[in-house]
Amino acid sequence: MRILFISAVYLLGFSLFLSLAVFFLSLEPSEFLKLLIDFEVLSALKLSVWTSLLSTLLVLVLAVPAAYALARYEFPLKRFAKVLIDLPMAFPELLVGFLLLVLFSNLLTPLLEKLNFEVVFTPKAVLLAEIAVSLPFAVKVLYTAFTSVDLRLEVVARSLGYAPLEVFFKVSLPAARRGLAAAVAVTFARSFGAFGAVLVFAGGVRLKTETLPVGIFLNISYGELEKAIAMGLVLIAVSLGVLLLLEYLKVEG
Amino acid sequence: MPKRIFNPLLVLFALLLFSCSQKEKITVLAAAGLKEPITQLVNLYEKNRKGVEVNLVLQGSGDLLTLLEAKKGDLYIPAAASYMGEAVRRKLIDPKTVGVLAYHVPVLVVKEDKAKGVKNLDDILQRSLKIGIGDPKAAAIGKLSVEILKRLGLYGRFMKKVVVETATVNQLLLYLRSGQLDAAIVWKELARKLKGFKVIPLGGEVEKVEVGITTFSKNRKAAEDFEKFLLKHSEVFEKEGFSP
Repeated sequence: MRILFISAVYLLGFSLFLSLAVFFLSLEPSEFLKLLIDFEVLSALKLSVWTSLLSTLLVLVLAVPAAYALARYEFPLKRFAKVLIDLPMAFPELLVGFLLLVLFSNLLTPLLEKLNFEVVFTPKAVLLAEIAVSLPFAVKVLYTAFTSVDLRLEVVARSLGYAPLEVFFKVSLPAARRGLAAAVAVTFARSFGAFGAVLVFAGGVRLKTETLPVGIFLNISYGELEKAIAMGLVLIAVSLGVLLLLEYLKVEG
Repeated sequence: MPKRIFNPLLVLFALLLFSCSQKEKITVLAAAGLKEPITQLVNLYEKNRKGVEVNLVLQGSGDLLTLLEAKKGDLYIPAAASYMGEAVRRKLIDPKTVGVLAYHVPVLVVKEDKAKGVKNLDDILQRSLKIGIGDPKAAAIGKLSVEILKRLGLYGRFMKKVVVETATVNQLLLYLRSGQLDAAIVWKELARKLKGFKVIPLGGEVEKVEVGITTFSKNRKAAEDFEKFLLKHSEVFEKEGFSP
């Protein structure tokens, strides 16, 4: 049984590895190096990296307290709220972007226009779209992590004199650190790979709201397949690096 | 017992094979923006030619080019002549088979409550409007818009007011309808469907909608017959807002 199950891991892992290798070899090395320092590729990489990092940070700030509240407290409409937060996980990204666009067009834009604050078609829209597509996943992962923290630990810490906030930061959060690392990984991965929501809500403007996934789409429609492949490879490399880093940090921790 | 299950299945299988070999199949790769007229024409054709089945693939002209590269399809109907030129250059389409079906006409659309006194492109530049344009690298409408603006000497001033460049014309319509844009240059056939917008003709440049047969088509005869049918029924395009 062991061999059978392990071979499933190898099968999944290596079939992806094979397709990556074919993808990589379809570019001439010299061509690839030239595209790596291409202005459009670099600009997309920069936008993708800073929006995803900021999105991960903001999502955690929102998701950690929300997930903890769902795991530990009782309050009115709790179950309903939980389902509502989970719901977008079932949405295609396009719908998330479309919902954001309609929300901003009908409700918020008149208000924001008075304040001279543009969101749609700007990097702020990229950031918001990335938050929207990754938030439900972060809450889900953190909720599971907090519910699996032994309640007795918190009760004991409390009885030994910790204030509630101290219990949270010194007991609950460290006890849930594996879940926290998983939440960081899933949020960054979702944000970095976000496409449909970003395209619709931020417009997919070349060099302005062009993240790596949007850039892949644009270059496929321009017929510049080499550049699309180069962007794909850069995206894969960054994701791989970040996920490997988190995987090993998790083991260390 | 197994025999009794097996036999009807075999018969069914034989029937399936038989019906497949009887019906000729052609695959048409058409630009998504041509959905209305092409779908109507395919239905009309299938009603007239009982023996032929037409598979219709509707995607962006550029994406369809990728399918052609993979040697898929019998006919190609992109939304702009440049795509057909590219397909011919890559020897995917037989240039002798290329014919013009209709013309796309670009128009200016302006939100009605902001369109008072607006008669041409110059007028919209005098007001504070949010303008969108097709990405000239990706969308045929974008390329044509830039040509028109350059001819009128308005390109620089126009681009200063542009808040979004989209890869497809449908994305422009989305932002017009959701209220993020006040004005844009789109195709006439699409502008007809917009409510609450004033449509202003631009004159001059138009875009060809062409059809051609692939160099690798295995159903050349059926493809030629379908093409002839399309070229004969240009009134369907006209009815949908294209120019004949």
